[in-house]
Amino acid sequence: MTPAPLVIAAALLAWGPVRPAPEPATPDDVGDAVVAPSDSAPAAPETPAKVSPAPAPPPAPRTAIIAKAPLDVRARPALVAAPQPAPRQPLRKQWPFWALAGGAVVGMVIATYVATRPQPQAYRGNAPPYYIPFP
Amino acid sequence: MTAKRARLLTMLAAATPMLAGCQDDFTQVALVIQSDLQVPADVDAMDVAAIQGPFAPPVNQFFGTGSIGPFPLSVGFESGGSTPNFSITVRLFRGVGTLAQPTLVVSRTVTDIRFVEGGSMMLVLPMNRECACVGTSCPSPGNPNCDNLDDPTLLPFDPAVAPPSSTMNIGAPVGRPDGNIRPPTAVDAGAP
Repeated sequence: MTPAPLVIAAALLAWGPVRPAPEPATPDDVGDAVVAPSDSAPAAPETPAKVSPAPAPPPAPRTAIIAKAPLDVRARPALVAAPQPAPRQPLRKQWPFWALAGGAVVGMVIATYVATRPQPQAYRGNAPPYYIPFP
Repeated sequence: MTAKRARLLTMLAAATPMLAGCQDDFTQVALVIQSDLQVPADVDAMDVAAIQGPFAPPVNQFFGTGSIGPFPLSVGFESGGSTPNFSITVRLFRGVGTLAQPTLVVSRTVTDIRFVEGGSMMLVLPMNRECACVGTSCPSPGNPNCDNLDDPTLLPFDPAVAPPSSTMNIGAPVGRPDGNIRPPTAVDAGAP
């Protein structure tokens, strides 16, 4: 073992633990901080610092950060977001809808009455021959 | 847009009563025959000959069998639009069905009865006992209640004077404006 790796390892230990990288989705996502050794990749003596002899430690479990501090509800900052546009009323709450629907219903009733009402007839008497039409 | 819709609704609201109020206007004359004669003691049948135009229609031998009710009697005349006037001869008979030759009781002729376009008019025609024929002799002219009429004055149709319209022969008019009027048959009366 050459002294250079030992020096680097000692420096890393003195530096502290390396922050674990997020789980890479693909090998391309592997960060520059940790480069796993690859057989296909030739050993790059010029980048010995990025080579880690040991696999990356498992990610530490994330714990919820609970802040305990007094909350002043009276001092809440005012909302500065733009006001939301008024929600569109449903169709059944719009008067033109009911006006048109009512007009259509009334129109159908009138059309039905006109189409089905008994046709008025000319006067027909009460004695024979009752009714005589001329051209 | 709202104003346009309001105008549209207003137009619809205004058109609705007009549509509902539409009705057919008949060009017609109701002939109302009044008499102090009794049915069937004095008369028991009526014959109406009619023809378009201002001249009296030819009369045929009475061959009808239709019975009549009490006076007033009525007959409706309607113009299809091309006939401005018509003429009629009304005869009352006795002994129809019991005598071989029915007896003519009263006869009156009215010529040049003029339709009123789109109007329902009424012609009241008295045929009283004073106008009755005795045998083959009928009263001489001179009595305005019995004389024949030409271009008579029509009255507006009055349902209080004209008897109610019959429901007979709906859809099957039996009158023929050629002077040959046949009485209604059972088919005309709606019998199956």
